[in-house]
Amino acid sequence: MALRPVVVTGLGIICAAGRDPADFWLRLTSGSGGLTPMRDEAYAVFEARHAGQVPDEWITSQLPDADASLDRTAQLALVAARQAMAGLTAADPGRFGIILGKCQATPDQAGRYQPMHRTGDVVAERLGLRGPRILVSTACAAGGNAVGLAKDKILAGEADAVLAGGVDPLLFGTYAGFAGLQALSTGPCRPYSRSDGLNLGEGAAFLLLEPLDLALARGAVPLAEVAGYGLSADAYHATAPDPTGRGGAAAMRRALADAGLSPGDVHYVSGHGTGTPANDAMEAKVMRLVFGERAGQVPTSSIKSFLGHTLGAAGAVEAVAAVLALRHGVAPPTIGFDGEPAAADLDFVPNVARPMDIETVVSNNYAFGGNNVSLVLTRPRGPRAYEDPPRREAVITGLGPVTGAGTGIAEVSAAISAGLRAAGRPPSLDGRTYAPRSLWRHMNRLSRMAIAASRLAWEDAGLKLPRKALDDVGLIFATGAGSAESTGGFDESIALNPNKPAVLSFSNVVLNATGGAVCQTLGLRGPTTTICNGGASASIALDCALELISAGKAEVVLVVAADERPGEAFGDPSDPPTPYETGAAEPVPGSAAVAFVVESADHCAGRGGRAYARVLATTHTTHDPTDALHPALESSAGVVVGVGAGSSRDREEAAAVLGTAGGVLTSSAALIGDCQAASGAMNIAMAALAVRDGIAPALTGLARPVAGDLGRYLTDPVLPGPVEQALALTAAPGSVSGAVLLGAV
Amino acid sequence: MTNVLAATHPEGTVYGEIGDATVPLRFSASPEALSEEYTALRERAAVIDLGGHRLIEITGPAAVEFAQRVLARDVEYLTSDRCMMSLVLDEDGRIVDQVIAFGREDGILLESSCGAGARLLEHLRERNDEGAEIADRSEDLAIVGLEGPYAWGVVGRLIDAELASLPFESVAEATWDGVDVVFARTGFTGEYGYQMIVPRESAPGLWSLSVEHARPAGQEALELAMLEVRQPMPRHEATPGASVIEIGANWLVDITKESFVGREAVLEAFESGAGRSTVGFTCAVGVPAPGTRLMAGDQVIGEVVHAVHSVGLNATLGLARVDRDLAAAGLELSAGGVGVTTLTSPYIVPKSWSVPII
Repeated sequence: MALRPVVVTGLGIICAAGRDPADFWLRLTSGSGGLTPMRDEAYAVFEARHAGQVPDEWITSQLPDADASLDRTAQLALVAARQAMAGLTAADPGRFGIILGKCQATPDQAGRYQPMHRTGDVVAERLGLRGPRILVSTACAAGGNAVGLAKDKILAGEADAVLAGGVDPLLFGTYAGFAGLQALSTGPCRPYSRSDGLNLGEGAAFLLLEPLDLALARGAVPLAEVAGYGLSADAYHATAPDPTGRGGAAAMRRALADAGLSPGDVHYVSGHGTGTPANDAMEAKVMRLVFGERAGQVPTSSIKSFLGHTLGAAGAVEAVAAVLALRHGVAPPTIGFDGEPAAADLDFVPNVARPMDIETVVSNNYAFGGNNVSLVLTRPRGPRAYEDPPRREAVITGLGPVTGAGTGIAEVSAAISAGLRAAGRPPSLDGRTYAPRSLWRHMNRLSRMAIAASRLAWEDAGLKLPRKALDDVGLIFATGAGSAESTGGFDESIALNPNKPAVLSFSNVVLNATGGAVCQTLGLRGPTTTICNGGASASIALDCALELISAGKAEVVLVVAADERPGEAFGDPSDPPTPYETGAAEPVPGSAAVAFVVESADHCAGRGGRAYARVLATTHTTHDPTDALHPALESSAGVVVGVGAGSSRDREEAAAVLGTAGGVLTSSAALIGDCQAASGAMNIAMAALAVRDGIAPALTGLARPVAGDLGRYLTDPVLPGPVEQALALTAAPGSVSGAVLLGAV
Repeated sequence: MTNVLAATHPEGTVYGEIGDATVPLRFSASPEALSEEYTALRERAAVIDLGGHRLIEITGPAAVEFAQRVLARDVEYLTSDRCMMSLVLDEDGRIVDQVIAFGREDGILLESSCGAGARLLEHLRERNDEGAEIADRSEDLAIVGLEGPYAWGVVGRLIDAELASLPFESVAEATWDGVDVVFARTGFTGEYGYQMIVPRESAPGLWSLSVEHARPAGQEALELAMLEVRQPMPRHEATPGASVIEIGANWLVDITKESFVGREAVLEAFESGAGRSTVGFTCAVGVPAPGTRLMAGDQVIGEVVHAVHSVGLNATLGLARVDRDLAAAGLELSAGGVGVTTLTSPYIVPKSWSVPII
């Protein structure tokens, strides 16, 4: 069955090896690298000084004055995004999305951390993109991952055009972290030959993706087809790649299968090629595993030798290079190639660009957390018939809440029935183990909570899968801010002495570290990604899970959301605010992890599993939920689990819900507090519980609701009758809001 | 226990009785046999007949609960792609055996140390309150080992090069000659080490192919190489009354686990601070017998536990148990009238530490 072809119709790039695609390609093909000693004197404390810096003039000369006050990350992203959109004259803003990959939490102009999704919001606002908006943060695989997710959004019919790319600036802390890991080369890096370490770089790159038919209809020139992509988890280590190359090979094989191609069709591989010994040795194994006897005949090169490792941007930067390689029939070289190759049997295109026939390129990226991505890009073909992707029914079969109100769904159900209000109370992980002690000892709080939640959801689903089946179980991690503990600990160590970074914390600063830890602990090696859209992360993660199941890429996907309360230790507020109460105090921030198992209905039935609920629909909007209603609100849900946490936003939400949806409104905030991404997952879990078990967290003590009659709110945890449908809402205020409609099985 | 590979081994192979097993000590009667086998293990690759290691399978609904109680390390979440080494203790904290535990889909497979399987099996059966199913799988399975700085290359020639770079203590399902193989990256000697668990009837064929790529090394070469990297060997070191702490095998016990057989005794020994410590030593002449008193001047400070001639050091290498505050490297002592020097481990730096797998 042929799916709708998705093509690249625009490219944008800014990095140390070029200010735009033409400049970039000229430098790549002429072997002109951009790695230079750091200009910023602050970096003089490090022995390794080379990096891929973008000259300021390249940025300022491409930005309107109105963007001058933006932070560097947003500026880099806007430069590349505008380039990629240059040929697009008219597009429906509501069907134009942005999927952005980013590795680091980046500072605003004043140097304060911003929410992970902020850069994507800024680009979307400035360019008027009001379609799907996702921030993917699979560390150094994020840029490539974004391109794959963008294709999914087009196939799902949610968008007619998507800007997919990545961005990351050079940050002092990250530099110190890599220096502390002894991962930096003291000179320009030499991937696949000396392999004595990497250089960091900065930059942004975007690809404009459209369905082939629409691109041709508007007279655009398709540059390449995004034929397929593949994700995998090593389930091996926080920072080191699985030395066998299994993880990288799995991603490449999945990508080729997605594209309907075989290894024999591949002409050129754009490697990850960071220049570290562990990476380069692992990649050689991946080449041999996937291509076998033919490995030496498939040229593979690393353009990181030109511009350094741009982290979350790298996959997008390399995808841009791959598209240009296809267009021009030239494989860019690995420059700085010196001495013996890392693997004598492979062809690393040393130092000189090579003209050659290229029909199919695979671009690979490997990241901290053991996240791997492969993209398959092909020369565009003509228009052709296609079918809509199959819709496969998915069910939620296991719930794993780790919250202040209880650990595990049995405890939480009891807490709901008892009317407990535990907002602000820390979750307890005492009383049992969730992971081998040898791993648990080294885990931070966020990973421990997420592992416990995942284990509990898995057990609640009654899943017993053999090792081989675990290789295909997906894991989608959702988090607003990642580990506050590790980020704080790392930043403190850098402030004290940049040459003594807390390296264990550093490996946990990447947002996907916790997702990787869950994969490692549960042995899951299927497709994996990490979504960082604040409070809306969990419903977007559920979307990713549904797309994996619909495409037949996984039968079982674990979605786990976790966030922790930043700052000092918990108090135990005796009187948490009642959501939707007039004049409620501020929301109580909390820590929690909530996991749920999403399974194809067929798989669940085949094993005799007992599902909580069917997933009927999910929608997301980047409009304010009050001025443009979610289509899902117009459902006949018996109960709506809203975002309401006792803030000024409660009124708008309640008015919108009560004005449109049926049923009664409630929220999980009094039960567990405001736990960012985990609250969104809790809402989904609570809706599932309402559908199957007929209970939901009640708004105990609600007397004067902010909107509508008291009778429209759930004030008793036992629902009056069977609930055929329940609606869960999620929101990242000012960015994305989501709705998930669940139905009885 | 009959040695399944005996018919395959060359004429002149010297066998010995270790516990309940008859195992090849050297594969030739030549006086150079030990030295040659050892050199193969340390310099190239050696194939090891692990027929003296018994395989005991624990299955059934109570398997993990039982294993978690009788093993001193944490095996609750030991997945089928992992294995780990652990002690098995009795209620008094004495070492019953040192095992490799392999996670399996339906339970746990234990590999005993050489010749200790019958005693281990008895120990497990006596304590099986949980009603786990315990089976002696050595009746249908056998183990062939590989050790050496280039053992990874042999793996590629035997089965699949992909298996060679498996992380330490990882396990994979493989096939060889149409039969299922449980393949594990392990290692006893500090060199790259692998084990292949195969159906008993397939073992001679796998062995015959292995010896085309690697030299067989017997129990003496293996134990010498183990000693050189301070890999614990209970049959030499678990002297009567010695605690886990005195033996220096604390790392094979996880006291953060709430309960397991022998935990209280280990904790008590740890908290009391009493007892001796084990330290390595070398001397230029002679091999002192176990029990030989170790002297500092005219003061008795301990005794020899185990000693052999090390081919690698070209000198005597031994372990002694001495007063705790004297368990340090570089001390000049005497044993049986011969001057000895205490050492820090490893006593030989394995070549594998500087040879990458390519």
